[in-house]
Amino acid sequence: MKKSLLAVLLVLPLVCLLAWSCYLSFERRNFSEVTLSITGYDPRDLLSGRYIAYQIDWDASDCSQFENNLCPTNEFCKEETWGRQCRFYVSETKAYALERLFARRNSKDNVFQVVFAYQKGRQPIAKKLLINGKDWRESL
Amino acid sequence: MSLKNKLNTWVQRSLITKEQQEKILTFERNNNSGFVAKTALVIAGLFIGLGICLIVAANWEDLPTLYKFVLNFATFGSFLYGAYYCAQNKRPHFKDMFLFLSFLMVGASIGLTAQTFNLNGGWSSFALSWTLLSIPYVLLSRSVSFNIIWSFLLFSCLSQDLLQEFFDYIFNHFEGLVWFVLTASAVAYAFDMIYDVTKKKIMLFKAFSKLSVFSAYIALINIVFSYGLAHSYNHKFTFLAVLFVALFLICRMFWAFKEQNISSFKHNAFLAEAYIFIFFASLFDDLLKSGFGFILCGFAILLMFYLFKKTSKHIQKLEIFK
Repeated sequence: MKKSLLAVLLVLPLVCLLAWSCYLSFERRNFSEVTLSITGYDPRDLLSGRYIAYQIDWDASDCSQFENNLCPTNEFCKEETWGRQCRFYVSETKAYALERLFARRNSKDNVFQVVFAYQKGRQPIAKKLLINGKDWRESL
Repeated sequence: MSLKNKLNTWVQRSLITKEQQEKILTFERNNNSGFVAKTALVIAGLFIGLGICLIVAANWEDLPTLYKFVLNFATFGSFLYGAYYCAQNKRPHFKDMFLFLSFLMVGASIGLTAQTFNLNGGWSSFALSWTLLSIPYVLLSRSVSFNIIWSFLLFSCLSQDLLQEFFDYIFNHFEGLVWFVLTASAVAYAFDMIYDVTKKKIMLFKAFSKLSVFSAYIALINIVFSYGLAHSYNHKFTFLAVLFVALFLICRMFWAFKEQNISSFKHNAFLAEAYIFIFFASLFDDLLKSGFGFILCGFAILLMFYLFKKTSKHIQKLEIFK
């Protein structure tokens, strides 16, 4: 096999992955931010590490952040499509403490929100998890 | 057919003389590290790659995201360079190990990206992108084990409901099992033929063939297992299973020792080592510790492989193997 062909075959997947992560990084930086309340969260453990699975609580979210004061409910947490935004990955070391905090969520002491990088018609990217308006790590 | 049986047939058909048979066997005894080397390197690669995947999965918070990406892609790049270097310098075993590591790094990179940008495509999307992106590596590799692992990943993309229905039918109906075993055997034969037609260049066909045979074998074992041992699945049974495998390997090694079969002794000794490593690796705690543990195990196997290469000639001179 030619050296150049071998090199191209080997490097191609790496370039694709690098381009994909750069593209996502660009989107996350440049899209505007919206903050939405979430509910139904529950820590999970899968191959990609620990994450919380959540649904957006549209009744408790501020729709004035969007065009015409209308919440684009169909653009977030889509089912069965690539890039579904229902997960927030957390560090393994803090997952247990977060789990305990979630266990007390029914007491309404804590308000959970997720900040998204959002642009109409594109996949939103979850950026931050907030508890009572602060970064989730501060509440642990 | 094993080499010994093949040579016996050749001697019977007067293709080679008895002296030539002895010479070939002596030569092969002194150069039979191929299987051991391949297996050692694939297992070492598996440990190191899994370790990296687990460390990525641990979502190591102390490290900024950019550093994680740089570290991830730098490791990936170094494995690719390793594969390229070994391909150019005709070191096939190491090339396969680096290709396998690169394959695992594709999974780790997708995992890291999903983690950083909080993506969720489910297992099917994850596995599908992993298999598609790693096609070049699986085609370049000559390792059947790697090709089988890749095939497993590909089949895992199929709908879980469909698979569930399929396996329910096979395992709950006797005619389903018979049908499955016959089909799997036919598929295995067909892929073997295709493999021969392609002049044994594409290992994927060989892997599909072996996978079909394994599936038929597992289906048969599962039936025996579900009828005979289904009710005894508890901790005691797990302990007995571990003990059974350990005793099995010890008996095989003892038998090889008694028969003075150095090849069999080495294979079984290696399997025993791999088994011990897997057993200890499974005792690790969280993802991060397990990740480092797996990487250490991988390097330990590489070290053992190196020492084995350096000392095997001396081992063969020992009295018991003369």
